[in-house]
Parts: sequence; structure tokens; C-alpha cells
Amino acid sequence: MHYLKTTWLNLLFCFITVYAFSQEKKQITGVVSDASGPIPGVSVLVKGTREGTTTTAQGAYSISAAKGTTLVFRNVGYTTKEVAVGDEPTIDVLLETSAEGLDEVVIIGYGSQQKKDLTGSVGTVSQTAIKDMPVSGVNQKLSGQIAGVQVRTPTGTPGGGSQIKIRGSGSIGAGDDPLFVVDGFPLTSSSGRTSNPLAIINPDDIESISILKDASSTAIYGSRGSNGVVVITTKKGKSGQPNVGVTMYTGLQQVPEKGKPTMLNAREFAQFRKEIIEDNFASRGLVATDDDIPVEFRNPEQYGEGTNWYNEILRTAPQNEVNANVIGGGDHSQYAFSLGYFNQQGVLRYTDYDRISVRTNVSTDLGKRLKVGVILAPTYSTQKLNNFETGFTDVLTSSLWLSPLVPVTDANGNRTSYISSPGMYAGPNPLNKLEFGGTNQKLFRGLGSAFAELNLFEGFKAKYSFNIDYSSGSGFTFNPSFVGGINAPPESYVPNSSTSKSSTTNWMSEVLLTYEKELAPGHHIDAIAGYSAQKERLDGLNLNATNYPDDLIETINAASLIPSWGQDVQEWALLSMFARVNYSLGEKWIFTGTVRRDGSSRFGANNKYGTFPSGAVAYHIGEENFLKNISWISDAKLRASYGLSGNFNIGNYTYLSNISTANYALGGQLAGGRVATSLQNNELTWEQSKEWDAGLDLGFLNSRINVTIDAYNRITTGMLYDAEIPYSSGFGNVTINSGKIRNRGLEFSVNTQNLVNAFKWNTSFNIAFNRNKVLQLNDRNDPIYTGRSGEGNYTHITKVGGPIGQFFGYIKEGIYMTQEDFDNSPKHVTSVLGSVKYKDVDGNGIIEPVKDFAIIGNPHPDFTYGMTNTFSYKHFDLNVVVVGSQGNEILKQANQHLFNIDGIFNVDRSVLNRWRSEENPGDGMTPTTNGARVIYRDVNSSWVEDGSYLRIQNLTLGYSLPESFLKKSHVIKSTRLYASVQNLATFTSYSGGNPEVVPRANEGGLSTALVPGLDWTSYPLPRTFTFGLNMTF
Amino acid sequence: MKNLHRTSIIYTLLAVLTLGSCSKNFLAIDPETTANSDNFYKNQEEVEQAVNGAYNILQDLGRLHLWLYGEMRSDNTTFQYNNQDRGLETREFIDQFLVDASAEPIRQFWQLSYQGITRTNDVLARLDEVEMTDEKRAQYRGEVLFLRAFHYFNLVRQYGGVPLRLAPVESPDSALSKGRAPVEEVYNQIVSDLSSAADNLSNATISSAEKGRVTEGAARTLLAKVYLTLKKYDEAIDQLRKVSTMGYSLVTNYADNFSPEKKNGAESIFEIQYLGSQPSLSSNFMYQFAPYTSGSVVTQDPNTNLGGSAGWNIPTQDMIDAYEEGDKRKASSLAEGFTNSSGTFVAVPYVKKYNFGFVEPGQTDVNFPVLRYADVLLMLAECLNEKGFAANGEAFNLVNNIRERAGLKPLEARDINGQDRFREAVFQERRVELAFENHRWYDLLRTGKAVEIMNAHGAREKDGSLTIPTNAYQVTNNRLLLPIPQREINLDNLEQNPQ
Repeated sequence: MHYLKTTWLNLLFCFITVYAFSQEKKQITGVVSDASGPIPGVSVLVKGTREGTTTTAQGAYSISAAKGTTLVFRNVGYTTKEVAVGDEPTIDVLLETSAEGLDEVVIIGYGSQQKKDLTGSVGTVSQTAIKDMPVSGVNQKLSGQIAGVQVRTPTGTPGGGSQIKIRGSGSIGAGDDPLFVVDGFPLTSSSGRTSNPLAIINPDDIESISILKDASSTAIYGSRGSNGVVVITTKKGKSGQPNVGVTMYTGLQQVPEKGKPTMLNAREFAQFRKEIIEDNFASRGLVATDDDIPVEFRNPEQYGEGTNWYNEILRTAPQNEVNANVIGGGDHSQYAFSLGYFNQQGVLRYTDYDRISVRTNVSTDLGKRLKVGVILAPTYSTQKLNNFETGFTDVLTSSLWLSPLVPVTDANGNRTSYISSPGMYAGPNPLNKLEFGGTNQKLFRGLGSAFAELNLFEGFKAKYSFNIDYSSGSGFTFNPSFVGGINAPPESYVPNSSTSKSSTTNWMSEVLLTYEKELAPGHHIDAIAGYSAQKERLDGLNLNATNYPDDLIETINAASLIPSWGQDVQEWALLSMFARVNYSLGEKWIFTGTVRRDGSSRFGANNKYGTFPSGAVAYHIGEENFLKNISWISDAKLRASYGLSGNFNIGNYTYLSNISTANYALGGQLAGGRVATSLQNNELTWEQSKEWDAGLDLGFLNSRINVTIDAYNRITTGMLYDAEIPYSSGFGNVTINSGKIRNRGLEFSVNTQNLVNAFKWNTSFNIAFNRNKVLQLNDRNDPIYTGRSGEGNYTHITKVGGPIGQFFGYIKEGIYMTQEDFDNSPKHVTSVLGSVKYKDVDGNGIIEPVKDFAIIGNPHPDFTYGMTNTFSYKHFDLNVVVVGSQGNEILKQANQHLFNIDGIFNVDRSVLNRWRSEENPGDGMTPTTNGARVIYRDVNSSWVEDGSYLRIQNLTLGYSLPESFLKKSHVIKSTRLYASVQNLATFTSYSGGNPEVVPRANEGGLSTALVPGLDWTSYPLPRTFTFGLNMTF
Repeated sequence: MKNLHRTSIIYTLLAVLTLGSCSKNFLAIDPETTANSDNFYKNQEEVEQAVNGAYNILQDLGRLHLWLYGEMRSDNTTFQYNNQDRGLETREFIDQFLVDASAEPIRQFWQLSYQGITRTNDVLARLDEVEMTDEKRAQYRGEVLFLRAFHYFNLVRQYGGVPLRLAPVESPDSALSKGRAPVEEVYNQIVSDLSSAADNLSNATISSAEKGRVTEGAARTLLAKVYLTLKKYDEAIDQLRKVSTMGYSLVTNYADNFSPEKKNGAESIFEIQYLGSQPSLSSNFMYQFAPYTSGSVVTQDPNTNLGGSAGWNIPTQDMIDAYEEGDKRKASSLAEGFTNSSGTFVAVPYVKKYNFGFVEPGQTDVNFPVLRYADVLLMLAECLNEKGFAANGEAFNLVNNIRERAGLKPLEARDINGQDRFREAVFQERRVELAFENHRWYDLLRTGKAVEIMNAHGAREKDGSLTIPTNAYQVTNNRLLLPIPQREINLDNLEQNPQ
């Protein structure tokens, strides 16, 4: 780090040198409003420059401008207004509604641009549409907002995450999460199910979100850009009177009835167990007597509904959030502070998430040329969860299969401690497990950055920033003896605990130079160049402790044995140089060129550096005379771009052959041993995506209708792929660069102002079609098999000519209905009369796994879409967000235990219609319990369901108190009340609870990208009703 | 002003260049928690660690696979049907001859064996580059050659011809094998490796602190077993004779062979070493072989639950009956049931040979025998008989040494009056002497009796059973080989064994 110090000294010296010289710029603040109140999101620009900002949710803005310049205020649906800067520090503006103008400032990588000057494909999100959504992270708000940006929320875990996928899956092994950049700082984060990487930013602190989609926009992020980039800026201080904003809501979450698992009740289950024995005897030519049937199952009629364990662990759970912020500043210094508190109780009992977030953003001018600032944003969260989504023995999944015969409480009203019936998997009472055996996680994460920006001379700025992201987390689980475990009754259960602690430090040091100049009339150039160094280090520690003498003391010191422990250290570093030039020629042409060179510690000695160039052009065809004269076309622009970007997400030391510990015992003592645990690959490097994008932006009828169409073709080559290799090599897999995938698609979005008078109605609709095709895999183009069914077979296949990760399994034809059918059909070695009948795909007369597997479904949608309608009339506003996906299929892997007919689990109700004899053949699809039960619960075509859905994501009705009413208070500037429903209704034929499925990281696949569309038993996604209040003072 | 601009630009550029000046070191990050092949195998100590690492895989193989395929698949043992936990049904299918190519244990056995082979290849490839004494180099070479042969010998008997890997895979390009080598070629390699191992180990001195390493005796015993399997009796006798001059002897008390107090005793030739005090190095046979319904009665460990991981390798009635009246080995090898906590006798037999208490809950210290001198005596007797029956000759004496220790009367030529009868007698003696030591399945195979005996065993097991699938135990010559793991068929284009 010594050179950092040098850099600081150099820069400091620069600052001192130029401190005395500066320009006559000052801070202008104000509020932009229309007849019905402040307008958020209005773009404010100093005319003739690229300097601009947008108004806050309270309509406030702050911008630095010199006297004599002109401020331009633009917003969709309003007449653009220009105001000359005079001596007054405050300029409040009233905009007239109109159809004119569509320009706004869009944040892009390392800068901002007017929307009309964009050459690449960049999506922005309207803050109004998403502001009232009760979610923990802003990523969940993006659902359905931008064409080609697919946001899926697979679980309702309090504080849990979403997955964002931009323009399909471009990677098979390196993940398809986009890069998140917050205030210029690329964060290390991947979408998690139980932890939301963006939960560290209070959504209320966000000023703007842009999504960079095409390679010309993302190439500036080089080796991290190929999955798209989400650029987030947070609220900054603005000169003027302090503006105080308070937002709060309170609400309730509930699990919708639709999609809950349907298991047997107690009477049906006892009957089922009884019949298993009867049928087994019958198949051997015997008759079962009462003595052969365990007493619990002899008289099913004695039971009623019994216990529905799944419903027992659900509850209606509250959710609350309060945020307060102050934004203001003087002529030379600006500040923004905020404090937020978010609390979400889980809809599964004894789970919750709690977050406190603080953000400070301060900047000040030091003289006339130098500006310095600091952002500090600490977040502290606690999360109480359990072993959810880890396998069929997790507490949530166990609530499906535990015996329905056992009551929740005993005669004395105490919880039944151990749930067991004869011949069944047994486990602790889920309520005990949830209450006393949970995992407590704590996370502190602090983002901080300091910058100094020096205005060297007209149009040329140098900015140095140092950013740091520090997080420290811990997790602790104590399993007390009285709770017990799966097949481990409390009487003999030994208390144990697991502890994990980790801390991560990520820093980035960056120099950014910007230059802007009108070279000659009609020739405008702006350029950036930068250099950055970024490094991350993770230190992790975990300990498992056991043999606690009792449940009294839970800390590790009370344990008498530490059977296993581990430490992990992960480091990576990235060195980058990058530059971009925008050149506009007259009113019609804009050219952009970017280049980035990245060097990464993650790649093999022979391939450490990569260069990522891109170029783009935009042509304002609307400025041509032949279109200018057509009155109903208000704007028309053509865009084209081509670029190269990369994906470096492959783990830190993958290219090395690691030597790990493998000890032995000799002479009754430990004998130290070491062995190679991975294969060396010195050629390993980033995967590269080459993408072209052609776009068309059109405005009609004075921009009341705006249409954007993009077509793209992205070829990803040298994919980072954790290739499975024969075990005879000594290893199971090795990360290589191989193959070629194409994603091409069409995106279409339209924004319309349907009604613009007293009753306003705006619609924004987008739809995206992406086609994913594997063009090439490895030398021999062998298919890649991935996933692992409960019986150890693959669940997915990726092969040349098809899309990534198609479902792969048996084709279910029915069951062997008759002896004749059985005798004349191909069979598995375990098949019996009445058991499941699969197709003999290879035609060899024997049913065998994998050899008789075929493609049974496609997880990729034909198209995804979103529509937001906003209505307002006088003081009322109504906002409806609808999202959907069409044509994708889901592989319901939960069926591997829901369809386990061994009798050891409670089971899906379909068994009521099973084959029992030739005379009593059932529905023809559900087999006998007499045999071949294992292959019945192996991956097959009956697990594949249509996953198309349409969801009313959010509906919000708001009411703003009239200004006349508020004026009396002299303090309150605005007050808005609203009621909102999140996840209102989902229209789908899928039988599970939530069609937005994302595979779990531990789902047996090498990479989740190769096992798409899998659904297990997920933490249920609730419907949330909230009531909220937004005020400004 | 103009000069000032220039100065500023120069300083800024200077700052940028300073940032970039140490990029090479900045990007060179080695893992801290593991070594890597660039900085390992540099001295004798590290080579010895790599040799120890090659032994390490034996522990995993021993904990499950060696008994699963060597013993439980045979007529000696089966499993206790667990109607609560069906999670390990594929193990049952191995016992019942219903297993298919994608079963997890089949894949694991293959994977672990080749991991072991790779570790030996890693040592062999680097051994000559590292400075050390010639004695040490020969010893390491001998040790890993033995281990490589041990794995190939298991693989060739269970899967038939397998890919022959004799050098480490150094890059992804060479990950694919050349396909399955013919059985004969695999055996040639095994013989060559073991012969070379024996030569290399002939001067090795193993201190008592290193007991457990491969010795010349181990290499010659295993080589003899290979020759016996190939029916090369002269070659086998030659090796066995050499072993018999190396100072091995039968211990007085049969049970001492398995006791952790008497590890690596006079009769021991090679055993898999476990260390009870270390969670990852301990053994757990007592728990796996206890009836899963026995609570802590059998293990005497109240803190370890016997779930689906228990109830395996349960002796069959036929095995129990195989012991002659008065055989002292029976009581130390198995129990015919246990008395549960409510005082009721439960007639689920279990293997008792490895029950010597625990060190920590779930962790035992017992080793697992692979080769011991009793096996040498019995092999020699068998070979001599194959060369020609000699009434009350040396072969009789060899077997009678063992019978004497077991408290049984000696074999006599008036009862065992011919080569076939003697062959039968040795076969029977091996069954009880080496019971539950993973020899039975291979004895069935090499004597050609597997199909007949296993079908008879299957008929006995199925008789009256409500849990064994009706199509179980249809044992044919083809089914004597395990299927090649489906994963390897797909990834390595291997040919499947006919089923």
C-alpha cells in the first residue's frame, strides 16, 4: 500500500498548488413542483454542459452553477423550462404539464449523460413506480421495470434476496449476477437467497438506478461487465433550507393459500400406511392380519385431520419501516443524513430480520477549485433464521413429512417434543426447533468513501477517491438437548453448537480524469480516463462444538469437544485502466468509444491481463428534415453499438493446484500428510462476451408516447466452466475456458401518457424476448450433465444446439397396469406390477437411469414482461405493477420427498389415487407401494410443470393532503398517506407456492447457472399489506 | 496559468503512474490456507507428507467401501432392514444384486480408488527431482507402488478392466483416459508394481514410531494373493515362502489381532491405521455394524445415535452356523443378538470383532486388518494343495496351526481324504478365520463359487422376507462385476459391463 501514500501526497500537492485559483460557481437549490405538488425525478441541467442532477422524492434539487448560466428543468410529461441563474441562491420552479421533452440525466458508468445523448442501451427506473414497495433491498423493487431485466424473488426469507438476470444467461460456470456499483464503487456481491447483498443500502437513500445492458455501456467495467451493471447513486446534499423527509409504514405479511403443499391428513395417512402393508402381503400371495399392522395404523377412523405441521409453523407477521432524512447545505458545503430502521418478522414463526442503517454524505468546497467529500454508510442487521432450504431434513421441509398423527401439544398443553410414528422418519417438534434451535446472524457492513475533486482548468477535472467496504459478520446456532434432531430423540441428543465469524475488507483506490470541451461549434467532446486498484480480503472462521454437559451455557467454553473447525482466507486484486470518449457532431451524430484493461489475480500465469474495447454511435434521425416535418413524430434516434466485456467470477485460486491437508496415523500418532486437491490450469482467464446492440428510440405526439426497441446478439466465448472430468484423473472437475453461447433477443418498451389533464394516467410497459443457445461446448462437444436428484442422478443437460440447462430425466409413461403390460414392457431391475413405467429411451429393453433419460423440459421463458400503470386524480394516486413470464417450465424437485411412498414420510395427496391391484388401478399415474419406489421418486417428466405466471406485484393507493390544509401547520410541506399490497395475486398453473424459482447454491450442481428452474421447499413468499405515511418538513 | 495547468497535469499523471508501479506484486496472490503445487514437493519432508497423504485415502475406503464390496456383498453378511430410514437403499441394492450404474456408493468407490492412485502417481512423478538419500527414495517408491497396486487390485476384481493411470494428470487437456485397459494388462501392472515395491522396500527400516507403513512383507503377501487369484501357484508359493521367513507369527489370542491396545502385532502384515483421538482419523466400525435398534447397549456410547448409519454388515444365519462347535473365534467375531434396555433379548446378530470401546463419542481407535499372517498360512496351504494333495503334509500343518489356536481339533487325512476335500476345508477355514475382514467376496470370486453360493444365499434370505424385493439376488456371472459408474461412462466414453 505504500504507493497509496505517495498518491495522496502527490494529489495533496496538486491541490495546494491550485488552491488559490477557482471559478465563480455557487450552489443553487430549490423545489420543482406542479399544480398538485413537488415532482420527483425532474432533471436539472446547466445548459450547454453535462452537469446535472435530478430532483428528490420531495422535488428538491441542488446544483452548482455560475451566474449567467441557464438551468434547464425537464421531465416527462412537462414543458421544459429554462431559468437564468442570477444572484438568488434559490430557484423554485413550477412546471406546466405538457407533452414536450423527454430528456433526463441518466447515470452511466463513470459519469452521467442526458438521455437523448445515450448511445448504448441503458435502462432507468422511475422512482415513483417503486417507492412504496415494502421490501428490504432495492433489487426486489426492480421487478418488471426494465425490459430484459429479470428479477426473481424465490423466497420470503426475512431480509432475503432476489436474483437479477440481464439479457439471459451468458455464463455457464461463472454466475450470471450483474455487477453492482454504488456511488462509483463496484461492490462484491452475488444475489443470495437468505441474505440480500443490496440490503446494505436503505432503498430510501437511493436517488437513481440505471441498468447498463449492452456491451458498449458495460465494457467500461471490463472483466466484470458481461452480465450487465446496476449503477446506483445515493442522495447527496443540496444547498438551501434543510429539507426533512420522513417515510414510514407498518404492515402484515401472510402466506397465500394458493400453492401450499397438499399432504395427507392423519386419517388418510394411517389408512395409507395400513394399505402399504396389506398390499405388500397381497403381492406375495399372503393376507395381512391385524398383528402385522402397527397398532397406530390399525384403526385410521380414530384420527381426524390430525396435525398440519406446515400450517402450524406459519403466522401472520408484522413488518415495519421508518426512515428519516435531512438534506441541505450552504453555498460551499452540502450534506445529506439519513437514518433508517427496518423490521421484518418472518411468516415462519421465530424468524425475523432487523436493520438499522445510517448514511452521511457531506461535501465541501475548499476554495474555488477543490471539492472534497465523504460518504459513510454503516448498516447493522440481525437475522434469525433456521436451517431452511438446506435439504429434506431442514425444519421447513420436515414440516411437510412429519407424522400428522402426532398432536402439537400433549394433554397438559405442553408441546410434543418428538414427532414420531412407527416406521417413520422422526424429528423434533418444528416449533421447538424454530424457537430454540435457530441461527442468529449479525452483520455489520460499512461503506465509506472520501474523494477530492480538483477543477484543473475549464472542462478538465481530476478526482481521486478512496473507497472501503468493511463487513464483519457472525452466526451462531445452538441445538439444545431438549429439542433433539432428525432421528435423534431429545433423550439421547447431545447439545451442540456451530459458530462462524468472518470479516471482509474491500478497498479501491481510483483516479478519474474528466475533460469536456466544445472544440468548435457543433463539435463537442467529453472524455474520461481512469486508473484503479481494488483488493479484497476475506477472513473466515468456523467452529463446531459438541458434548455440552447440559443446555445451560451455550458458549463454546462449555463444550467439551470441538470435532471440527476451519479457517478460510480469500483474496483477490484487480488493477484497471480505462477511458471513454464521447464526441457529438452537430445535433445529429454522437460517437462513443471506451476501452478498459484489467489485470486480475484470479487468472492463470499465462493470461492475467485482458483488454475490453467498445464503440457506439447514435444518429438523431428525427433531426433530419424529412422527419422533422412530420408533426406526430417528436423524436427519433437510431443507436448501434458493439463491444467486448468479461466475467471474472470464478473463485480466487481456481487456476492453482491446491495442496491440502490429508493426514494419516502411523505408530499410533498423527502423521502429517498433504495431497493435491485440484488440477492446475495456467491458461485460465476471463470469459468474453461480444455483443452488438441496435436500438431505436421514438417519441410520438409530443412525446406522449415513447418507444424504445433494442435488438442484441451476444456471443460468450471461452466460458468459465467447472468441467466435470473423469474421476480416473484423480479429480472430479476443473475450471476451464471452453465453449460458446449465444443470447440474442428483442426488447420493447413503451411509455405512454394516456390521460394528462386533471385525471392522469401513465402506462409503462416492457417485454423482452431472449433466446439462449449453446453453440459449442468442449473439444468433443460432449453434453454437460449437471444437478443431482435425490437418487444421485443428473437433473439437467446442456448440449450444443439447445439452451443452457434443459431438464433431463425419465419420461413417465404411466404405470404397469396389468400383468400383461408388465410382462411386455421394458423394466427397471426393481420394477413390479403396478410400479412406475418409464420410457425405454435407448430401446434396449431395460429401464436404466441416465441411459433412459431424455430432455423433459426447458426452464427458459419465451418472454418476460412488466407493466406499471399510474393514475392520479386531484390528491389521489394509484399505482399498479404487474410482472410476468411466459413459456418457462419448472422442475419441482420437492417431489423427491413429496412422492416418497416408502411410508416413512407423510406424502402428497396424489397417493390416494394409486394403483393397488389390477381391479383397483387408481388414476393410472400413481404407482403401487410394492416396489420400484426409488425410481418413482427419481427425476422424471411428471416433475415438470408450466411455470408461466402473471403476478400483480404491487398495488398502491395514495392520498396527499391538500396544500391549503398543510399551510396552517407552517412546518409540514407535504403529507401523503397510502395503502399498498405487495404480491397481491399470482396467476399461474404451477402447483408450488412461487413460480419465481432460483436454484439453491447447494443444489448439487457445479454452478447454479447450469441447474435453472429447480424448485425445492422454499421459505414461502408472503403477501404483504402495508399502510404508510410520507411527510416532508 | 498555462504553466500551472502543465504542472497539475504532470502531478496527476505522476500519481497515476505511481499507482501502477507495483502491479506485478499486487496481482500475485497465493492462497494462505493451502499450499499449491508451485511451492510444494520441494524437499524430503514434503515428499513424505505426500506419501502419508497417499495412505490417507485408505481410511475412507476402509470405513465403508472395502467391507461393503468385500464382505456385505458376500454370503457372510447382510443388513438390518431399516423401515424408518430408507436413505441408504443403494447399499442394500449392492447386497441384493439390484444396484445400477448411477448408485452413489459405486461412484464413490471408483472415485476414492482413483484419488488414491493419483496421489501415488504424484509422488512417483516428483520423487526423483527432490534431494534425499537413496534409501528413503526407495522406501517411498516402494510404499506408493504398493498402494497403487492395492487400488488396482480392488478395482480389477470389482469392475473388471479399468483405465490404467500411471502418471499424474497435469492439465485439463489430459483429463480423459485411454479407455478401459484389458483385465490382463491391469494385472500385469499390479504384478510389476508389487514386485518393484518388494524390491524397493527390502532395505527399508521402519521404526516403531512409523508402524503402519508398507513393508516388504506386505508387498510380497499382496503379490502372493494376486498370483493366487491368477492361479499362478508356483509364483504365489515363492512369495509366501519368503514372507514366512520374515518373522511373522500367529498371536496366541485371536482377538488381539483387532484390539487397539495391540495394533500392528506379530501377526499383522498390513492394516489400515486409525487414530481414535482425532475426529477425522478415527474409525467407527462398531457403530456401523451395531443393530440400529440397539441404542447404546452394543456400543456403550450413550451420546451417539444409531440411525441409518448403523445396522450394516449384519452376519447371516449361514455365517453363524459356519462356526464349528467350540470355535473360540465365534465369540470374539460376532454376537447373535443383544439385550435391550428393557431387558428383552433381540435376535439381531452383529459383528463384534471391532468392538473395543470408544475414545470420544462416535470415535474408535481400532485399525482394520488388510493382510495378516494367518492369511499367509492359509494361502500357502491352498497353493500347496493345488500343486498336489499330500495327506497330512505341510498344508495340513499350516491349517492346523490356525485351528489349534481356535480350539478346534486338527484336520486329518482320514477325514480330508483328497485334494477337493482339502480345498473345501481351506475355503471353510478362510471363511471363519478371516470373517468380516473383507476377504470372503474375493474368495468366492477366485474359487468360481460365487454364482452358486450367492444364489443359494439369496434364496435363504428371501424365504419369508417381506422386505427383500422379489427380484433380488438373481446372481449371474455378469452380475459379479459392479457396473462402471454412469458418470465415467458419460465423461470418459467407457464401455459398460454387461449386466
